[in-house]
Amino acid sequence: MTAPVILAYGFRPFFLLAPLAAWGAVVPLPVLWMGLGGGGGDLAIGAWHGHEQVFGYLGAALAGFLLTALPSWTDTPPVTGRPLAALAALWLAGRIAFWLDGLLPPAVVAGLDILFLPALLAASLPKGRPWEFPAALVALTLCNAAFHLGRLDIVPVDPTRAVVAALDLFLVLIAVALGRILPVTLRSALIETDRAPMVRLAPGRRHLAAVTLLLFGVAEAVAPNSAVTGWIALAAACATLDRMGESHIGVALARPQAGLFYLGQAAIAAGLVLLGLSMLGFAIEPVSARHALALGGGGLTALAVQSVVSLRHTGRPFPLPAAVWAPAALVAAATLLRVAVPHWVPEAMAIWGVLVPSALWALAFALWLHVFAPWLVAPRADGKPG
Amino acid sequence: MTDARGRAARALDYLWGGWGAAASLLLLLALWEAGHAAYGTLVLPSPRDTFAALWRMTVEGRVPPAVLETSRNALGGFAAAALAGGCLGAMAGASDMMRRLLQPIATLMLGIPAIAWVVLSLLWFGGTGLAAVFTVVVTTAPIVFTGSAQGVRTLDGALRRMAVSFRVPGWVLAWDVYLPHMLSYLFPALATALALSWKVAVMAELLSGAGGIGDGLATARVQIDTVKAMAWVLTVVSLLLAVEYLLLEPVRRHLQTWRREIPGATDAGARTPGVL
Repeated sequence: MTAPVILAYGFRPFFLLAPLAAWGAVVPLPVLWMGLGGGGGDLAIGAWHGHEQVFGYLGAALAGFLLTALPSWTDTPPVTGRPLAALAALWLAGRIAFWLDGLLPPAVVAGLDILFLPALLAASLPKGRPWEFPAALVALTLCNAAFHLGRLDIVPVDPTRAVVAALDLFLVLIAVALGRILPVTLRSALIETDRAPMVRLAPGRRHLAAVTLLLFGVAEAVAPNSAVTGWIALAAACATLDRMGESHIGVALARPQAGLFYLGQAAIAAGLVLLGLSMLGFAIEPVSARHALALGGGGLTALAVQSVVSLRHTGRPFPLPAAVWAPAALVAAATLLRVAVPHWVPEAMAIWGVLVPSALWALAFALWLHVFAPWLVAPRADGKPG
Repeated sequence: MTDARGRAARALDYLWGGWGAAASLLLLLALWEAGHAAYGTLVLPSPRDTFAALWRMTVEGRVPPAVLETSRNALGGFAAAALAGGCLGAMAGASDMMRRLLQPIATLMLGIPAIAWVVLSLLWFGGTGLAAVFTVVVTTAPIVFTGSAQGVRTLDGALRRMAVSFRVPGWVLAWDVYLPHMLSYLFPALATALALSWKVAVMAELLSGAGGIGDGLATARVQIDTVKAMAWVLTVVSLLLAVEYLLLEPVRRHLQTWRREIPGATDAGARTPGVL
């Protein structure tokens, strides 16, 4: 029995479904901000939105990436067919639960949402694989559990802090994953611009970036909003900037597979600087700094990963289609608006800080699907399985 | 053309590496802030208060003259020590007799604690800037002496004989054969001596009271003003970092061109599989 093409490899269903979460997470925001309706249920809208973007959208992007990259790095059989369908269904159940939040009792929402991450962990556990990704999945599972238990008042945890911890964890994951992605993408960018494909990445730089980001995550979990955490945020920003030196490969940096990751890292560095300064007492709105991290850093990096993986694992050679710039530009524009508007024109927040960025974000995923969905539902271009 | 571009790329690479140094220093600031939170302002003022105090002192015009004074003492002493230590060291390296004569003296001078020199020079020169300069000279000259002597003593005789038999002119011999070898010993000694000269100058100023950063520190101590004291410490540290990263490290990199890998010799990316 052969599985349908869409279940032939992990990235296919998850990258097709990820935009659903991306859309769902922003749909109620303009309505609320413009005062057209109230939020249902007991959950603060910020925590709801954060959960859906971080655990929903970034979670799907992570699942697609891990289910594809881990088997390909370690030459082990990937999860396909029914188990893959089950994983996707678990993810989707969590999303539907959150979309119906307020109608469903919180305990049911928690029950529907809580199973996906442990299942993903089980699917990416087998031996001989990098340990850092399963470790991160365990931590993410704990964050999600804390979110729901906090919401159900079983443990005294603010759900928003659980989302923040998960986002910090995603920053570490990005830093770790880039260590494996950049050698490949930078080489291909150099080849496309007729340069010697020589990439020499100092392990020290990326380890410093990942460790300081991890330290920041721990500091934020232990002492949120303290000056100590603020300094660590600035240190993590500098380590990220230092690490961006890896990508200084001349004009080849203008290729999307190199440039998009660079922009994502720049957004992370900028977000950390803003967040650090706000913790050190500067008048910066921390939520907008979080959006630089999540929307700019997480969103751009996830888009780039989705694009590169969708290209390579459907048997297509580089270059990426130029159309990949359009969704990335929309996400970048959404980030700039979401970060800048609350500071410069706070009175226009509802329209220019929420409605427009949400629309740009939603449109970005429509454009992304327009380019990549046909590849995701069709067999590999080179006729190989997967 | 490509050489200039390569140099520009390396310069950018070096400057960009400053972010890594900044990350390390900011983590130290986090530790400092944690110390402040644990022990309070009297023991350890917060970094932000210290920066604010430093800014205030700079605006009031107290910092720049002190920095100038300390720099003059440190650099003047260092220059004299480099000259004297370098020349005597070269003599000791070239001549066995001179080495026998000078080495024990250098060893003895190295063994005398810098603070003892401060006391002696205060007795000899009183509370003037000269005391600081003298202390810097006598504490750093032996370091330069040792490096210089080592450099000359280990010159490659065979290389020299080859150069002579090829009738290489004397200045080329000095510039292209002796100097690069000498520098690999002399430069680390000079770098150590330069870094030490600031610290010794501040120490001498602290006791002599003749102006400079050390004098500021002494005043802060008398007033039990930890914030001001930390601000002065920050000033010295900034000077040291500036000298290290803007002067010494670029020169070190330039001198160690031969250590750089030949482009294309290894390709770290080659080991990575070509798929994600």
